[in-house]
Amino acid sequence: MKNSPQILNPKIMRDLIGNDPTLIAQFKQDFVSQARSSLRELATHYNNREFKGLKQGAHFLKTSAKAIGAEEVTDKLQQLEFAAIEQDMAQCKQLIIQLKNALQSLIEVINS
Amino acid sequence: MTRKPSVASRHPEVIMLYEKEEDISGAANIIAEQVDEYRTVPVTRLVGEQIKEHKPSVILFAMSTVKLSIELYTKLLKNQQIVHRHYAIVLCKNKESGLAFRSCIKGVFDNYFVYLPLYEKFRLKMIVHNGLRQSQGDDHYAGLDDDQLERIDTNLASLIELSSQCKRQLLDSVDSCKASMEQSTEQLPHGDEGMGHDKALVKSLAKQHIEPLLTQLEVEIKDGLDLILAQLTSRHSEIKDIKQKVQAKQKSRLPSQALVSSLFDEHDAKPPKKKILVVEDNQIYREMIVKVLEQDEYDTEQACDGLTALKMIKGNDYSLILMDLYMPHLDGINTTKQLKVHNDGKDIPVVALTSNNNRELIKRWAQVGLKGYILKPSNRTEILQAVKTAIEYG
Repeated sequence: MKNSPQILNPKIMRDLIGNDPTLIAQFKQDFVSQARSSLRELATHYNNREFKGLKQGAHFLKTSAKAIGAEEVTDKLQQLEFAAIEQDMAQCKQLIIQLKNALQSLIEVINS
Repeated sequence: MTRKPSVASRHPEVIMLYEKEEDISGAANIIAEQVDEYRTVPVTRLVGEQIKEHKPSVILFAMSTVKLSIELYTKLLKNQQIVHRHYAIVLCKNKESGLAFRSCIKGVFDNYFVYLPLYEKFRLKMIVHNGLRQSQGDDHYAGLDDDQLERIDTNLASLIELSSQCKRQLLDSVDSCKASMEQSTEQLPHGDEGMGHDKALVKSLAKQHIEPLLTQLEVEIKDGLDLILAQLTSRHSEIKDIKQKVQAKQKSRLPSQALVSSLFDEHDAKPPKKKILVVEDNQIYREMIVKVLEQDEYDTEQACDGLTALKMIKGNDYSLILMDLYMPHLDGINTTKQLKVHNDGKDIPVVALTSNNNRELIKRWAQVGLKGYILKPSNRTEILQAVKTAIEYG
């Protein structure tokens, strides 16, 4: 059975770039900035009913979310990508809200 | 107004020696924008004579390898086809920048510039500008160039010769004057008592007044001209010293066989790091991959999309390309399709950076030359293993 996604799985980044705490902290902060900017773009695509842009935006952010171990954010982005392919407006809206919450939780964990 | 670049000046101050015209077109036009008296010259059997004739202040060597540029420069120096003061620049491909740097540090060339790929056009202009300034206004020789030195040397030599001749002629004239006076006095007729007195008087006048004057004139001519000659000889000797120093300086430019060998020995002693191009639009993930590779002794370069990657491939020697599938401008599959064309027909192994739900696309990608794939997110060990395998078997 698949484990439920963690807000932040520290093992993922450790296994990738090693144990340097400064480097890890830097990549986490870089991701937070990137995610905030991407979330704004995703909302714009949603408001303009641009499903292709939504799909591409979700896919783009998913790459770095996976790499830093932000599993919950990754999961929401994956679902958003599928919803955009299906052109399901209602589902996209729900997922963008959930993505925003997942990102907020991640920021709290990072800053704790 | 824009000046039309010219690369065939009749009296070039700057010359670029090249092997392949297509390699130098970018760099050649940049220099032509800056220098009026400029010429590009293909390397043929006549190249040495052309250099000897034009005596360019700046010479750029743009052969296909640094080694060939060193060989050409050494040959021109050895054959005395470059004996004038000049500034030598080696143009190199990015992969040979280390070797070009070492050849400058060891004094073979004065400077180097990476022209394939061509990024820093203003740096190239700066190097050529500095080269012109240094070779044309070298204050070691009080602002004199080789031709001026040669002229001064020749003029001083002829001045010394003229002064010596002049001294001989003046002293001969004094001697002949003395002889003539003695002869004239002796030839005065012996006659009666009155005439005898006159002769005695003339002799006495000659002895007491004219001879001392002639002797004094002789001494003054000797002293004066000897002083001038000594000064001229001394200046001539200084000029000769300067000329010898200039020649020695030019001679010292000829790199010894041992020095040239040492450049390549060092190069061979430590094998160059394999260079990997990481093509990924997500900057965070791209930098993470770069960290992983650099910690494992790979050199890396980065591109944010397929189009940028294709531009970077020319003139580089990547051992491997790690490439994302979905990217703006040109995706991974289409970039891979065009790689060979942009790499002079040579293959470069490509490993995909991809999510596991792209298996169908991976199959399509494999048909256009993909050598392996790394699932996102893989760990360090998996990434390095995939890289190693692709480089070894790619």
